Amino acid sequence: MRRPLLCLLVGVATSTAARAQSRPVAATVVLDSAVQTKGARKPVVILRNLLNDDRWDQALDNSLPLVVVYTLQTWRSRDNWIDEMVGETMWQTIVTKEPLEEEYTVTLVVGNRLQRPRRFAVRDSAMQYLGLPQRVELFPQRAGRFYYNLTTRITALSDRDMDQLERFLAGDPDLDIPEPGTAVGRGVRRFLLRIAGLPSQVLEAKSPQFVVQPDE
Amino acid sequence: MGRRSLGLLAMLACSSIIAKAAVAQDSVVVIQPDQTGDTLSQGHLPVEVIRRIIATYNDSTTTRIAGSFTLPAGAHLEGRVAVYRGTLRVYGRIDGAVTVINGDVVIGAGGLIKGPVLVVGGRVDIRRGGVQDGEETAFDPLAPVFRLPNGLLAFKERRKALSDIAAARTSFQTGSINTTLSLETGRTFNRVEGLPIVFGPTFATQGPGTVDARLDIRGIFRPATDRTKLRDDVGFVIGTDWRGGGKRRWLGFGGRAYRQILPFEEQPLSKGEAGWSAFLLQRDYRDHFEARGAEGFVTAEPIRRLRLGLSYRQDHERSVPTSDPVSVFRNQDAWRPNPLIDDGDYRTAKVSLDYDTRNDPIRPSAGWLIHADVEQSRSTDASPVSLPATIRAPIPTGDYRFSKLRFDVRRYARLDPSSRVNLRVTGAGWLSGDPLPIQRRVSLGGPDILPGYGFRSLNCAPNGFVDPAQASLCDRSLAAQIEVRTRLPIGIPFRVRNADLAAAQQILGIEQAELVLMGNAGKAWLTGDGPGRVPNNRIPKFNEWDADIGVGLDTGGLGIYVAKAVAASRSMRFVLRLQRRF
Repeated sequence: MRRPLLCLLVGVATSTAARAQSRPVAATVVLDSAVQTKGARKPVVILRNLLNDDRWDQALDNSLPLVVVYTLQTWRSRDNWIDEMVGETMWQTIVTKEPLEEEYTVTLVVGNRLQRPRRFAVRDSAMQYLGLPQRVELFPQRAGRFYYNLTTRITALSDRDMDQLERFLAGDPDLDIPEPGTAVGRGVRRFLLRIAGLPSQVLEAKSPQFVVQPDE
Repeated sequence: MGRRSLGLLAMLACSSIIAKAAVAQDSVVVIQPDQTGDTLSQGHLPVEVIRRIIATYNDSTTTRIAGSFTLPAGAHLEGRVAVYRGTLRVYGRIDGAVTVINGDVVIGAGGLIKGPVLVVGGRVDIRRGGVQDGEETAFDPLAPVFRLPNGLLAFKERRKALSDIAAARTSFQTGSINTTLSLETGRTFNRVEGLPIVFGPTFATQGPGTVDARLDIRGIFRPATDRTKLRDDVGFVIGTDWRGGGKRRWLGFGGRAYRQILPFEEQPLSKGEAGWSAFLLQRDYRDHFEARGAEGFVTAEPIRRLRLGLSYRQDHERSVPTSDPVSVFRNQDAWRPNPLIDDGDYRTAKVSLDYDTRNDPIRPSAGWLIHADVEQSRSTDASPVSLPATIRAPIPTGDYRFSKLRFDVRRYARLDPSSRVNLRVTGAGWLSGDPLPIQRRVSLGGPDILPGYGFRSLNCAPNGFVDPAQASLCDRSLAAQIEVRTRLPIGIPFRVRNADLAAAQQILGIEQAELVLMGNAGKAWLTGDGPGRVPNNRIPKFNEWDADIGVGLDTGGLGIYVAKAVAASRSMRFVLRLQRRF
């Protein structure tokens, strides 16, 4: 019993210094190594350093849940002409921290469906899980040269959004409803969120191109 | 190997003891989108389904279950069963309809459901050895419902928009009829009515078979006092709408009776923006008239996203004067007079087409939006406003007929992941018959279509014609717009110098802003033979069009633009928009 306790104390003491050196969060999209029929490739999304980034780590420490919204678009490249977007899919990861118990919860929401939350007793386990590659089960069905474009939006929620999140986790669907209301309402809301000092970050990434062969 | 590394190693060693089982087994997270392949996903839960599940759950003969429930092997349930927010696991037998709201149905080995199954916000999972004997319907989107303290379900309204702040609504269910009582603003503000208050009930029902019916009864109270007593302080709209034709509800028909204030044109600002402009700055960019009458209509959607409409209305249209409602600024100024119209009884037939393939109605980035309508009107008692002959020949007495065309074609396309191009061609005007009445005439100039030009600077008023109302006088208008939007790579932070705020709170800014480059060209003209007119069968040459170019910053709804007329020596104009331009 002493050994785990000792190393935990050493870890906590020294991790403060470690966390002082913040590493920025980064998102990438690469191609799955498995090649599908006719050369299609599935996208694999990787989010790094979410909890190594001071902004997000502090937000979690302040009991603000983090919402990571991934928007993955499939694009067909048309040389010398405008690229064509052929598909789009979204999912999100919600990270919360129970401050008294130092417990992290990671919930995946795919297409309005809540996956079973994953709970982690320590930060590094949560960080490791959040950094796992996410393979998206889609690929283009027709012939052409394609690539994936990933937009990752990370936000910390306001108190109002916290209520909304809690209601959503309790079965209410509001979180996934597109922002309602007038442009003024939405603009004012965003403005207030900014005034509240809540961070928000958008990351973009693009995959290498791949070619899907036509039917023979 | 410093302190940091030691700490990390220690943490990793400990975490591996505590959470190895939780993480080590994962090497990849699989995201299974609802719709694989390369089509754009569309999630939609019909309103009638929401009504149906609420009615089913609240029915006193239904066995209601809140939360997960397992029917064990050998157990037997008879009658309707409804589950809210939970998984229904069936290993026994259910004879009757099953409704699951925001949960799944799992029929395990030996389980049997003999009856229809409706799942909203979940899925039906029939395991090996399980049987489902009856219709199976599942909707993936979660149902927007919540449980009341008395155990019944109710429809959960979306969060209130700014326009709904002064609104109050309550709903209740009586049998299959859902009643909503509402009291709200007319969601605009204008110099004729002020801030209209709209109130009344809505009755909606899912009728027999595949027909939905709706009845709206709305009273409209106009708080702005009309000192001339030419208009009523109270208006109304009573309308009914029936929809049928299978699940898609492709056929609709209905009618309405009304006494309401209507705008001449839907530009140069949207209804909401025009209201804010009038309320804050005492600048009402629209003109209004009162219509009293009745209308019947039929609509059909032969294919998804394409709607065809046919309507016939008979109404009395008459001029209404400007009132003097309060505005926040410039309240001491006089409002622009509301133009007189050609009063009379009009009978109007209208054919319309709407085609909408946009991927997002608020911020579209791909797709088409097409609207076109042709209306033909006649009147036997029109009382025309006197206009100079250079604008309009005298309207015939006895039988006055005219027709008008309007169209608006928009194309949204992406150039690459962060840039897009939006195109719009819009036009309106006289098509055939006698000259248009005042309330159907058109103009250009203003924030929307030609922002480099002043409000109605292209309204066809002849030199020397003084009209403080600045009425639209043109027969036809045609305009083309293009804008290229590029997402700015960085946010725009502003620092607030307030020591009381935490460091993080001192930053506010705009993220996801878009740089907008725009070009607009348009022409409004009088048609026919004679000096200064363009023959009926042609449009003005492009080099005669008025054009402007501009640049703007759209911060996700709030946009600031600066535009400069190209073909005329006009100063630059600044425009603030509360929504996308188009």
